[in-house]
Amino acid sequence: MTGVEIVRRPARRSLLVPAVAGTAATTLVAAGSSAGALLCALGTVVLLAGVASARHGLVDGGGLVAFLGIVFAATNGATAGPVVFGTTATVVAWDAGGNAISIGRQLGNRVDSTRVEVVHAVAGAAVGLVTALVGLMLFRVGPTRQPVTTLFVLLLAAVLLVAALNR
Amino acid sequence: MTEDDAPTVRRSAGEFGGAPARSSDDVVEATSADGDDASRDDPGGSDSGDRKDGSGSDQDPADETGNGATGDSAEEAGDHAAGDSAEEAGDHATGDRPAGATTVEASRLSSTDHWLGIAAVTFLTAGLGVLTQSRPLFLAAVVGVGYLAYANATEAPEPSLAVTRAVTDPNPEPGDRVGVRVTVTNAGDGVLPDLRIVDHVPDALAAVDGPARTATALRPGASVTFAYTVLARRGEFTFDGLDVVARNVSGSRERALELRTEPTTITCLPPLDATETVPLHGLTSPYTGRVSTDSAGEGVEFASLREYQHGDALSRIDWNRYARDGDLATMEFREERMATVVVLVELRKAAYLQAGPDGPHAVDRSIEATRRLFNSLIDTGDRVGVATLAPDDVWQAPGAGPTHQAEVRNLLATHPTLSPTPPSDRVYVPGYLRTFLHRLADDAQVVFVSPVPDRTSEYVARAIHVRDHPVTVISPDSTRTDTPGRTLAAAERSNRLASLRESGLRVVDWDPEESLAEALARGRRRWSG
Amino acid sequence: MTRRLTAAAGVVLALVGLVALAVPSVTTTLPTDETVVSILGGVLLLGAAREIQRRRDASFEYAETSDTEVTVELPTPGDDFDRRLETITVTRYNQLQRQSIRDDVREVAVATLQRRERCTEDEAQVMLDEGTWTDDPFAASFFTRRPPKTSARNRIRELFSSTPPFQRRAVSAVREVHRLAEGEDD
Repeated sequence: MTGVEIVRRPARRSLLVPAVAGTAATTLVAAGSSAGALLCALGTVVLLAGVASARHGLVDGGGLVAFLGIVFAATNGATAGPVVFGTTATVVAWDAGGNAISIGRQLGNRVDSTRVEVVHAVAGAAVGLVTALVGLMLFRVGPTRQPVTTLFVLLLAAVLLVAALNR
Repeated sequence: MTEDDAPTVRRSAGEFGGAPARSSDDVVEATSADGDDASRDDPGGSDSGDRKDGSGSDQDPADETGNGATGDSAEEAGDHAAGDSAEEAGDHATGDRPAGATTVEASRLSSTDHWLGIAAVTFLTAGLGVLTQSRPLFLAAVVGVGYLAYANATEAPEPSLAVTRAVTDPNPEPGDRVGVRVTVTNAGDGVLPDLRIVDHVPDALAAVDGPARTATALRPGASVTFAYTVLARRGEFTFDGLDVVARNVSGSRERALELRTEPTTITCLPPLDATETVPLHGLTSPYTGRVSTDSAGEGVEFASLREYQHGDALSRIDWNRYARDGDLATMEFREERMATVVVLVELRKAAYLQAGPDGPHAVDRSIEATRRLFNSLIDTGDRVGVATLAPDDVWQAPGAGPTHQAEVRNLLATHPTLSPTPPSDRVYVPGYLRTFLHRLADDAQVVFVSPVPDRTSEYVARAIHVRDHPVTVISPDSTRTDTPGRTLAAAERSNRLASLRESGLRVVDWDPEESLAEALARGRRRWSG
Repeated sequence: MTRRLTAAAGVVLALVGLVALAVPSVTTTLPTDETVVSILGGVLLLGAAREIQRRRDASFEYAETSDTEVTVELPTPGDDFDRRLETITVTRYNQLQRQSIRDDVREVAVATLQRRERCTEDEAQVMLDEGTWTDDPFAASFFTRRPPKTSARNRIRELFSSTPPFQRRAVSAVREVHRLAEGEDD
């Protein structure tokens, strides 16, 4: 075989976004619950290992564990802000990690994929942030007057509608 | 404005058979009334609209036929698909053809499963939220819903791309490093947020520097350029393909496309080899003296008279001469003087050789030789067929007409057996020979194009020759003498060729440094000298 | 089918919820006791588990790209012989392999002699065994299996050179055979 045989793994650079997002999630819940933060950190490490070795399974697993860390913190009394933004951060890390692997597999690690990865990550982060902010606003502005049940009913309605559209 | 429109409109009227002397308004009516012609010309009705308004669009009617172009709406700016212009070639006043038109060969839309399972975020938080009555968890569930919607909201875009390629040296020496620079432009009017591009490097060439790939996000009109280096080798190589994967911004759907672009060729051949034919000088020996007993049909012309031989068909005797002189003479017709030749190309796995890392592939040279021999033999009026000695054998019986020529040329250019990659199966040679000899007409000669890599080739050539089909061997030399093993192989091959010569076959040993014409000339000197 | 049901249920609930925003009393009528809540929570958690399982089962089959930069190197005739010669010189003591190499060269040498010297196969074999086919002493010794008929100085030099004697003699023999084969075109 002659010619450059590409290495089908993400470039080092692709570790940056998931690392930053994962760290953000960890720090957000550290204040509320150290156990939760620990889980979150562990999940992030596994996720990063998954990106480095181009294994989707590790990224998924790590993302799930990190998210469970957030959930754990929420059940142990963390406030709304950190929980919501922590969730967003975890999803962003998982999203960027999975995307990096697909780029690595299709293009190898010597392609400068910065632009494409940044666009993808920023869009994902934007979606998460906007929904988080909307949620928080509704939480503070509106429904302190509303019983939890109403919120829940609305939420469930939204879930069902989107699940119906789910591909 | 009507002034500007009139020539355009008149041309289209001509197409529809209308009289050109009509007023432009009438003609416009006619074009829009002509159901399918209008639709052929004009996908959205926008063109006749333009003419009516007199808005002076300078688009030729020819522009609108979007044969095989991607994203037609994007093409209104005056782009033509490659297939298009060939049809309308005469019609354009202003050839407003941009560089880089592409056509889509294959397209596949699918889900990437990237966001699969995101609903778990919502379910998990909502479920635990319910159980623990925790508002923060409900809010986290909202985030999940947002992502779920995001994942399902958009579809993968259908990119419309213009691709141009530039090569630093289209005529390099073997072993040179040639830079290839590819520019991909978003010719559509949608944003392409996630574009992954892989260039098709020709199979036989290796890229030695830089992946031939890139990834980018392109706004309409934006472009990306990437470059890589290939190592040149003997032969002619065409860059004409590009693989593109376009995803939506969330990454949930992707469209994988195979594009065909305008070809860019790198040619690394000795200059004399650029011709299509080769001077043959008696490569084949036309059969004289063999009179076919079938009655001659139409289109067979009288060629000469010869002395009557016992057994000649009575219908061939020139009775006029006999009546006049009392001599019996037999007429020979042109058809019988034509040679019937089958060019047999060796494509067994063993024949896939190259003369060193930057040397030409033996099979490339063989196929090239086959093509040119075919052209030359057809030109001299012989009936020529083509066959391959390969696991997937090909047989094109000898013929002479234009259809036959077109078929063979197409076969040599596109048949999968004639590929630059070696086959994985083997050929059962005795069985092959049986079939081949059975198909071969009695008076057919064979030109065997093969590097003669082993005893089998020698065996095949001899087996055919022995059965009264004169064989001429054209052998591209793939041996080198830079290492002991290669030197030994060169000696071995030399012995084989000599042995074939001893058996009465004509052998042309085609050195990689010379053109086929030179090799044939050298061979001819040996045969006649 | 389930899609439609889910969508319908979602629409209904959305309406209920929106109504409830305006008229809070609507929701107070909904059952909110422990069991209902637990069941609901449980169902949702099951849903989460199902989603996770769906992802674990997914084989990531997004578009693959070819190894376009690479090309398969085709062999040049004789590469195999070179490889075998290479391994011989490394191990040094492999009698069977040496004999096989010697046989390969001998075969070509015999054919070459038959062609150039116009002799029979037996005569060619004799020439090889006796070393009379060439002037090069090292090439000759490759087949005679005896020390090369050259000056003592050369023989000592051969022993101390970096290339093992077998290889040097093989290379010489091959070169000589090739020279004979490529002689004047007949």
